[in-house]
Amino acid sequence: MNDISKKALEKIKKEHVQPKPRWYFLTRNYFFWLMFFITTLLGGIAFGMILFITTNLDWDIYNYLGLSLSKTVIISLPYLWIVLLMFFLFVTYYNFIHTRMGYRYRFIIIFIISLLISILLGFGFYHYGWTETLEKQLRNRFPGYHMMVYTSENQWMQPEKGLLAGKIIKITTINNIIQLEDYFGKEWMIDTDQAILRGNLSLTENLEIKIIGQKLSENSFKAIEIRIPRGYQQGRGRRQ
Amino acid sequence: MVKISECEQKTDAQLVKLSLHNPDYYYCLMKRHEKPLMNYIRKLSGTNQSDAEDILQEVYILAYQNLNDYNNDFKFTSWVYRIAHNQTVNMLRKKTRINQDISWDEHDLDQIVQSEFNLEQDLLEKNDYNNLLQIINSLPLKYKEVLLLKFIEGKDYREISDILKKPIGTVGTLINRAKNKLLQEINNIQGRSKNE
Repeated sequence: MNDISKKALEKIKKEHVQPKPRWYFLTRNYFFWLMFFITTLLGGIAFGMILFITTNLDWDIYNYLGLSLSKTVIISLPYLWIVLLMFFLFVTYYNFIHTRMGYRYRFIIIFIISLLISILLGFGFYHYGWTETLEKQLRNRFPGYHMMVYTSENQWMQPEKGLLAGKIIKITTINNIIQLEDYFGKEWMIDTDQAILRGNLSLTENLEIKIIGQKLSENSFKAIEIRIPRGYQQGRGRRQ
Repeated sequence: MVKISECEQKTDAQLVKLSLHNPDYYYCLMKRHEKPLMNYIRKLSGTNQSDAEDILQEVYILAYQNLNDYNNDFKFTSWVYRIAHNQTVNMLRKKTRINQDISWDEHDLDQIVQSEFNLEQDLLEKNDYNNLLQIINSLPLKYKEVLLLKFIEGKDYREISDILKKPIGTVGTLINRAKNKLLQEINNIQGRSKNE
C-alpha cells in the first residue's frame, strides 16, 4: 500500500492547504442557534394567534349558523396559523439538528420541546395583548387576511343568519333604537327594545357589540341578545 | 518531518492541537488512523485499492481543512470516520456506484456470524459465506453501513451515532432492522434449500 498519509501531507504543503479558522465553525453553529430561537419565537407567535382567534370565537352560536358543533369547529379552525405553526416547528427542528450536537436528539423530542416552548411563548403573547395588535395590523394592512382566517368578525358578520356586530355610533332613547356601524362600515338601525343584555353591560357610544337577532330590512335589525366581544373591557375599549 | 516515535505518547486531541501549528504532526495523526480508515472506505464502497486511496487522501485533506471543527465532545476516530463516511458516500453517488457490491472477506463475515446473530451453528458453515455476502449485498446502504460499523469496525452506539449523525435510538433501530432483515433472508434461503 502506498503511504497515503505522506502523499496527503505533501499535497497539503504543496497546495498550502490551511485549516479553516475556528470562528468559521463557531459562527456556523451560532447561526443555527439564532435561527432556532427565531423560528421558535415565530412558532410562539403562530400559537398565540391560534389562541387569540379560537378564544375570540363564540362557540355557543353554532345553532344560529345552522351547523352542527363539529362542522362549526371544522369551519372555524385558524388553518393558516396552524400551517404556519407546523412550518415553524419543522424549520426549528431543521435548525436544531444542524447545531453541533443537535443530531443526537430524536425528531419527536425536539418537536415536542419546540412545541412546548411555542405554547408557552404563545400564552405570553396572548396574555400581553400582542396577538390582538398583530391581528388588527394584519387585518388592516392585508385586505385578503380576513378571507384566509375565520375570525370573530367573519363569524358575526352574517345578518341573514341573525348575527351582526360592530360599533355603536349613536343611541336614541326613542323606541330604544341604536345606530350601529358594522365591521364592513355599513350603518344599521338596531331595535333593542326586547333585547337581553348579556353580562354586565350598558350600551354606550363607541362600544363594540355583537348581536343575535333578526334582519328586518337592508339596514335594520331586531336584537334579541346583545353581548360584547370576549375580553373587551367596557369603558376602556381594549381587551384584557 | 516529525518522527512517528515522537507522537506515540500523544493523544489524538493533542496531535490535533499540534497539527494546527505544524502540519508535520498531522502526518502522525493520519498514519495512526490510515489502516482502519482505508479498510472502512473499502468495505463501505466495495471499490478497488487505488480508488479507496484517492478517497482517503481527499478525506485527509478535508479533515485538515476542518481541523478547527474538531473538539473533545467526540472521539477523534468518530469525527474522522464521519468525514470518511460522507466522502465515500459522496464519491459513490458521483460515480453512481451506490449499489456496488461490498467486498467483505471471510474474516469480516465471521465477525457477523459470531456476533449476537448466533448463526454459526444453525446456518452458516464456511461454504455458506457466498450466500451471506449475497444477502448483505442485497440490503440497502443504510443497513449495510450500520452492520459494518457495529460488527466489523466494532463501534459502539454512541460512536455510530456520531459517525452517521443520527440519534442513538435511530442507530439501535437501524441495527435491529438490519439484523431482522438479514435473518429473514437467511431463513428464506434455508427454506428454499429444504424444499429443493
